[in-house]
Parts: sequence; C-alpha cells; structure tokens
Amino acid sequence: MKVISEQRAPREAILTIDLDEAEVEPYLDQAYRQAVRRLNIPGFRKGKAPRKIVEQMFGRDYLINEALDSMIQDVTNKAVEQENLELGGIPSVAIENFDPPSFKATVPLVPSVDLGDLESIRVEKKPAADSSEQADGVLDQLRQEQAVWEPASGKVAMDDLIELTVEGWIDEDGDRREIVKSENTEYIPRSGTRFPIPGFDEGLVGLPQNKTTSFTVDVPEDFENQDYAGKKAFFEATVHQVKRKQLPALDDEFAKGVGDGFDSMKALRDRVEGDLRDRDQRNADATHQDEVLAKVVEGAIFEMSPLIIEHEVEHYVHERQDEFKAGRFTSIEDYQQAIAWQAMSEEELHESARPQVEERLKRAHVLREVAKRQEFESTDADIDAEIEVMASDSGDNADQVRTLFQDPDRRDSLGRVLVNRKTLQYLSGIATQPKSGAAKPKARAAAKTKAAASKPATKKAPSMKAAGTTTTRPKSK
Amino acid sequence: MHVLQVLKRPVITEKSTLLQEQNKYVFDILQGANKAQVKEAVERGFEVSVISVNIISQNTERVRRGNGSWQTRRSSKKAVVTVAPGDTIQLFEGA
Repeated sequence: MKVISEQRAPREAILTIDLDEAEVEPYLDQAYRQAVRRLNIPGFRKGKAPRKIVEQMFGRDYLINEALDSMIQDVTNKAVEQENLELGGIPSVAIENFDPPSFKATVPLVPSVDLGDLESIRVEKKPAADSSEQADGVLDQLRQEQAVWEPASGKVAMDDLIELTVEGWIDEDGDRREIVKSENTEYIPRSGTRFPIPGFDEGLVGLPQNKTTSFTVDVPEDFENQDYAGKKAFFEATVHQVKRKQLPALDDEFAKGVGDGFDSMKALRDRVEGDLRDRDQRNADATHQDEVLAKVVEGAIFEMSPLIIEHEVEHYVHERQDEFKAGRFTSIEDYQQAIAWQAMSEEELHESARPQVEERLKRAHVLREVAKRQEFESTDADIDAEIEVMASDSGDNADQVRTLFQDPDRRDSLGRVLVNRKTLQYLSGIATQPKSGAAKPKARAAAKTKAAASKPATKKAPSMKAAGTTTTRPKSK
Repeated sequence: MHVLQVLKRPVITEKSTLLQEQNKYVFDILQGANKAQVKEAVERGFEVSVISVNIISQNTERVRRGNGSWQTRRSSKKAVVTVAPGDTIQLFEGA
C-alpha cells in the first residue's frame, strides 16, 4: 500500500492511497462471498456459483464495487495508522481510480487547542442565592400534607370541608329551573370558584349547621352559561357537618411524624435549610463553571477541521429531529425549535445549528485539553465509588443501578463525566483565585481548611479546587 | 455441415463446474451427433486431446403444471468430454 500524506490547515491531512493487486484480493474475495449469496445464476443454487463464474457474468468491476465500502474504511484506517496520524473524526474519502483502486482521503486530525493563559482567567463567582428562607414554605407544605380534618362547631368558613344538602334554581317566569340538587355531599367552598355559579361558595360561608337556610345569588351578566347569566339564583342549603383542617404544630412531635428519623424540630429545620442551601450551592457552582468554561473557550485558539464540525452538525440535527419526531420536548423552546425546523431546508437547518454545535465542540476540546495537561484521569476505584453514590441515592433501585454500570461502555462514559467534573472544578478554582495569581498550593490548602469549617458559600469555592487537586495529585505522578 | 457445429453450447451448472476438476467438460450437442463427431469437434475446436466421450440423451418429457395443464421439457443431448490431464478448455476458464 502506497500512501502519500500531506498536512494542511486547519488540522487536516490528505492521504493519497494506492493499492496493488495483492492488497485488493482479500476484499474482492470477501465481496464475492457476500454477493454470491444473493445472486441468481442459472445452473447454480444460490451461493454455489464459483467466483470464476460470477466474475465472468458480472465482471470484476461488480466485485470491486461491492467491496468498496468496507475497503475504503479499512484501507483509510490502515493508512492513518501507517502515517501515525491522530484521527479526530471520520475521514471523507474520494475515489481517484477504480481498478487498481486509488483513494484520496481527507482526514480530520484531532483539533489543536491553544488554551492561552489559563492561569490569568478570572471570573467572579456570584454568591449563591440564599433560599433558606424558603424553609418556612417547605415546612408549611409538610404541615399541609400532615393536616387532619377535625369536626368543628359554629358557622361555615372558606376552605372548610362541609357535608351539605343543597338545592338551587332560578326563577323563570314562575317556573323553577334547577341548577343544582344534591344530598349529603362533601364540599369545600373556596373563594373565586365559578361552579355552579360565581358567588355560590361565598353564599355558603357563614351558614349555621343543621339548619335549612336560603340565600340568593345574582348571576353576573358575563357568566358562560347564557341561560343563567344576569338572573337571580335561589339556593336552599342545609349544612350537616363542618370539618376544619387542623394543621399540626411545628414541634418535635411533628418532626418525628415526618419520618427519616428526625427527633426534633430543629433537626428537621436544619435539614430542610441545609438541603436548600446545597441546592443553591450546586446551582451557583454550575453557573460559575459554565461561565468559566465559556471564558476559556473565548480565550482559546482552535484549529479544527471543518469536517469534524460538519459531521457533528449532521449528527446533532439528526438526533434532534428524531427526538422531535418521537415527540420528546423537554421545554417550550424545544417545541418552538421543532416548529421552526419544519419550515427549513436541510441546508438552513445545518446552518442554524452550526454555532451551537461549534460551541459545544470547542467546550469539549477545551476540557479534553485541560484534562490532558493536568493528567486528570478516573481510575476504576473512582468509577466504583461514583456508582456506589448513585446506587445509594436511588434507594430501592440500587442493585439495578449497579448492574446497569457493569457495562464497560457505561463505565467509560461515567469515567469521562468524572474527568470532566474534575476539570471543571479545576478551572473554576483557577478563576476564583485572587487577582495576584499567587495562589499556589499553600493558598489552596489554607482555603480548604477554611472551607472545612463550613463557612458561607463564597468562601467555599476554592475548596473545590483544593479537593480537585488533592485527589488527582497522587495519580499524576 | 461443419465439424464444429456439432457442439451447441457449453453446459455451465454446478455439476458441470464440479466435473471440470476431473478434466471433464459438458456440452449440449446436436440430437444426431455421435461420440466420434463430438471428439473431433472438441479436439479441433479447442486444441486438446480427448480421452473419452460420454453421451446422455434426455428425451422430451411432459411435466405437470400446478393448474392441470402439461408442459413439455425440451429434449437434449449432452456430451461429457474427458480431456487429457493438463489440457484445459478456455471457454470455461473465463476471460
């Protein structure tokens, strides 16, 4: 196999590959064996005709044609290997000559990323939003869930559960036209309800128990049902029983009832506040990492073969379209995009998706480059630990999660996720260093001890970096 | 009639291809042809030396078709010609 390779910008190699007879032969043989099974040749059962006969009847070109697909792929891979090139995507191959075959392959190489001055990147970290005040809201919701209906004496109030016998009608020239009639039904009056007519619920409020009372309601002119609109509705109602929601007091007793082994109100409140704060922290971290990465991408210089981008765009568009076709929309934007896409031609589609895809690719390559430079890796132990974390989070499905991640592919991708996470933490650590850029291991260690004393969110940030570096340092040796 | 006109066409089937390994070549021949004629034709036409000729006659046969009608199968006469070891007949060898 004769290979002439020449490199050209941006990060592409052109390989001219010439094959001689002996190299083509195995491919032709394979092609014959595949073709003969479906060829119908008189005098022979399917798959029984010798190669000689097939070549005589269909010609050698036929076999070459059949072989071409696998041959191109195989030969290109071999050539890339032979030339010691770093394959960065799927090569595009043109056929120069048919017999003897000769190809011209454009091979995208792994993009080169010049990260620029990473150490000088500074992105201010916005303090995590503090939503621990929402704890009251969460507790209140818990209270509502645990509330019980207790019989109450006295008159009906809004949001009571009442047992009610009611008859309602409107007067139509002396005829009673029934609106509602029911006996012993449970009903909860709520303000603003429009059923059966607006004002009915308000009319119920204040009724005494066990006494038939009548009241009238003026149906508003704009009521949906024209038969009733603007008329006077008469109701006769008897309230048999009133039950009121009794919210449990927020005390230790309540905390125990929630489950999960809280033994005091304080423990429950701490936990709720802690959860909320964790969520805020995570959100803030993610936003910061995102901003940092965007900044790094902005400062980096990429040399990337258009072939890679093209391929990725195609892949992306295809995937999204499949998703849309299957009706999977994760947000309203998705839906709008799907509609917009329907109106576009293939080319427009690719054009519109390109900036997004390019950004994604750049981010991925920045992460790859940083991870490579810092020698971030994920060991089997790391992956196992992560799987354990996920398993313990998923409760009853723990075993399912474990079996799911037995799969080597899944483990690999999980490993990549871990490396990315580490890299992002590292970058966001750099970006939050003090301006002087003097933050060296000592400063990081100091930051870590500070963070360990559980200080507010803003000071916690450097600890991630400390964590990232300490765990990876032993491996990088 | 020319000598070579005795041979109508080569028979190319799975079976005949297998026979080629034993230096045997199969031809469709004229109904009236005999072994001597076939031998001469093959020797002259392909420049090989013929060791033996076997002839198979297949008479017309009526075959039932599924719909109750009958189909006739053409009669044919085939010759299996054994040539001397080392000799090959190009017609079968392909281009």
